[in-house]
Amino acid sequence: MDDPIYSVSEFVDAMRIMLADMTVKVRGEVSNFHINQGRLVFFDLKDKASYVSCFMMAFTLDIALEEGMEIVVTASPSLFKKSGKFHLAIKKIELVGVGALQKEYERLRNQLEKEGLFDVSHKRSLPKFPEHLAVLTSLDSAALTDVKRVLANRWPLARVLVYATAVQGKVAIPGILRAIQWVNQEAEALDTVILTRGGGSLEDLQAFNSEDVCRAVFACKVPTVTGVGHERDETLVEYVADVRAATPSNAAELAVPHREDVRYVVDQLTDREIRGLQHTLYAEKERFRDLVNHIEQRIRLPADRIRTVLVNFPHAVARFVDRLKQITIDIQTFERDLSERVARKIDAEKNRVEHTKALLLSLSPLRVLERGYSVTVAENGHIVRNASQLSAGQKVSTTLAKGKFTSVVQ
Amino acid sequence: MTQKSPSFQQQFEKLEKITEELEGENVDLDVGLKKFEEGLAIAQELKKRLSQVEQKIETIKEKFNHDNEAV
Repeated sequence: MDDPIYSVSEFVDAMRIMLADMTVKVRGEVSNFHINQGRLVFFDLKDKASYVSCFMMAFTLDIALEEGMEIVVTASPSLFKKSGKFHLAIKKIELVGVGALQKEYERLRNQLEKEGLFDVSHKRSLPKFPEHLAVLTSLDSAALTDVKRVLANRWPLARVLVYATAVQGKVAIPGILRAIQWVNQEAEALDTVILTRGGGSLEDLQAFNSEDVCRAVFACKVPTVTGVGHERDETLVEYVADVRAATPSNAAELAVPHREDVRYVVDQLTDREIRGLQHTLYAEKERFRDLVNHIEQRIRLPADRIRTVLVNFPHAVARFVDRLKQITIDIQTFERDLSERVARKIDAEKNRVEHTKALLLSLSPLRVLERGYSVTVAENGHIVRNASQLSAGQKVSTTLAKGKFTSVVQ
Repeated sequence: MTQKSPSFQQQFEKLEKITEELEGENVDLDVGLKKFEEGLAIAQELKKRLSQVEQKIETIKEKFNHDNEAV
């Protein structure tokens, strides 16, 4: 039988149908990525030896592809209807290599953050003076050497338990989980956990970005401080831990205080106690002194008054005596004055009397008598002024300047 | 942590408490002196522990796991 002869389009169609059921996964590097007319995505998938064209519609592309990205495509081999060109019709794209890890990192970070595993409210503070430390890391690593050195330098009084575990790559995950399990078992006897390793690539650090390890550290019964690589390295486990240190050495520094600092504080406390006691003593002394002052005052005031009185008493007495004397003198003076005044008054009166006597005398009828006149008085004692008053035989008495005589009226 | 003897932290906190008490307002002299002695004893003990030079380090090796990753 002769081989069937196809037309070109028949051939292309036949190949398309034949290949349509096949689905393959191919891994390679992205190259020549471009989008035509805003909808048609073309790129090559290549490895060291070959490359193959890839095609898909833009709306099915959900990853930002970049030149050089390592991907795994799920695709169907096919031919373009028009050009017959062989290509892979892409159904699904997965990032692998660093790209994949990066995506997973971001996915997990968002999820854990949403669940609240990064929340500050869950973070415990590390014990101030830990006496039992657990260090989870690999033996013979620079990280362990650093941690041991810093611990020995700062806080040698703590007991350190090194739980040796692998820390490199994905395979380290079970070991780390077992280590944390052990920590939870020994939780009563442990104060602080240091989880640490040196720096590395995203692949190296996979265990520290793994969901299981992160959740285990979050649920760990003992406060945990992580120190991974260098400051710029950020693994997810560091954000769920209670404290994130920049490096292994830093983790040890944060986990323990420096004994010299603590010694200094202890001395300070002692000094404060001494001063406190001194103040109390001083206060007691003050109180005592106040009491003595108080008592002294209560005694002194009356005592002073008594003393003042005693001092002043003789003076008072003297003054009193002086006053008595003065009064006596005053009385005497007064008496003398009085006598004098009385005497003068008497003299004055005497003079007046004399004066009046003289006056009287001068006005006295006796003077008139001396001029030859006489006074005749009737028997009834009345002075006779009118002779018609007289009757014959009446006895009258006549007073002359010198002597008197009686006569009978004729 | 429950231990037979008080932990460093407990001792330190006790010392802080005594210090605050001695700095307080109404301190009875007798009580104060007793507390001071106690504080001094604690401080001595703490400083003795701080003077320890050799750090005790124990290493616990991970057992072989199925993936054969020995440490």
